[in-house]
Amino acid sequence: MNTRHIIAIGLVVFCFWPGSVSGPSLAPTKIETPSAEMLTATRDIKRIFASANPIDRVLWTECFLRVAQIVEADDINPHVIENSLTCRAFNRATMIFLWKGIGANHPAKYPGLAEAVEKSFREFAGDEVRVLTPEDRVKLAALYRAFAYAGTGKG
Amino acid sequence: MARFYGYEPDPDGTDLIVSGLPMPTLAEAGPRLRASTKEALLYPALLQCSPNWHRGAQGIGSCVGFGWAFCCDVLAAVEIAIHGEREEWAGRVLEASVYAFSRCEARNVKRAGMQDGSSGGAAALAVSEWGTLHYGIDYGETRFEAYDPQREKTWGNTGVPDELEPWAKKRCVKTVTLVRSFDEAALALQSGYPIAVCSGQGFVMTRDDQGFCRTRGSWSHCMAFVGVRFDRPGLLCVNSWGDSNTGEHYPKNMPEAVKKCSFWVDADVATYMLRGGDSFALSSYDGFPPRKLPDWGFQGVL
Repeated sequence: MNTRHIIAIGLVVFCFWPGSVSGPSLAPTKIETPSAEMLTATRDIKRIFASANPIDRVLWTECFLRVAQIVEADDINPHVIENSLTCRAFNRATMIFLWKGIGANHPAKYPGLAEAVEKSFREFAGDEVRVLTPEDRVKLAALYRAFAYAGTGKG
Repeated sequence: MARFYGYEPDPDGTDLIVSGLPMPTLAEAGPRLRASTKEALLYPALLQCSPNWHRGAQGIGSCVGFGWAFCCDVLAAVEIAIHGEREEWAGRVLEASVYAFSRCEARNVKRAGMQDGSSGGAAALAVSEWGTLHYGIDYGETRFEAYDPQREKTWGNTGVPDELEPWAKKRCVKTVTLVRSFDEAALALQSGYPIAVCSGQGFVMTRDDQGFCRTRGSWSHCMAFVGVRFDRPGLLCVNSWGDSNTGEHYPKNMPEAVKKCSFWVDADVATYMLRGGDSFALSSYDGFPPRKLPDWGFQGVL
């Protein structure tokens, strides 16, 4: 862990932690255990994070918890994330801003991570450009939470 | 005023076309369809697929092109957003394609003349046999970005350019079926099938406190029915005159884009309009197959 990491994680935690005005906390976030199906789909991510830098694990977990919240908040018409193509752009922007930008993580820092995440996404959301249904949105939020859970190393 | 309308009844022509339809009536097209008093609104599917949708205004007497193209859009959206078909929303149907096919190719006419107008039956044949073109799609060297009334005028005389016909043929409506009453319309709409309605019935432009417009005068006009309700039985009618209607509406949360171009028609009035025998429900659209995503956005970043 270097100074950049500490600053980065401090910022993330400060920005995203609910009620963080009283000061950041590194207490582990309570995440509901994903379904067995989701746990299976994200097992490769969990394996990769088992040996990951603890700061990266916190960043990963916090990042995907908030991403899940954002997807759930996008429940008004017209949706911001209206189809799988905009969902892809959202994923990419989130990862560039948070994982790469704030977390200062370079691509392929964890070999196989991108492939594992892509595989989980394909399993649950297919690989076609299409409009997202309300059911898709529920599933997406659950998948993002499962990603977050995998980062904690539990399950 | 002529530019606001454009429906030219052609009872003999429509009879001939209907007699050649594989499933001319709703009883034949959907024998398993059952009536209920469940409200159905089809516009949310369209807005889900096309959040910035806004009703255009016809620039010539091309209401038949506008009414039918809009129904194709609604049908495509319903198939994607409600029926979950593996298709991709690829933009609006080019009104000029339906209008021109209905005036020339569907009637086997080389030159249809520069006057405006068409019929529901001819449009039924146009979308089911000749297909549709879309805005924003590359057709070789040609791409249509914006509505152009001059295109409608020209194509309305000459038909759709030959080189574009093969493209249009890929995007046909498989089933068009006559709708003759409010009950039949309700059944179709509850199944997700929009209705292109051609009639001579006119209306006031201001809705009452329940969203209905009362009848007034006569319009030789084509519009679209895309909703049904039963608290006060009626059909939701979408016009093609841009932002044309004012007053209260139902439901209260109807998005502005739909609110401004639509009104409810009482059931008895709807039946009167449909009884003319030139209004059709559309189903089963040959939509655009979905493209593959390159990835879900994580490659090259994680």
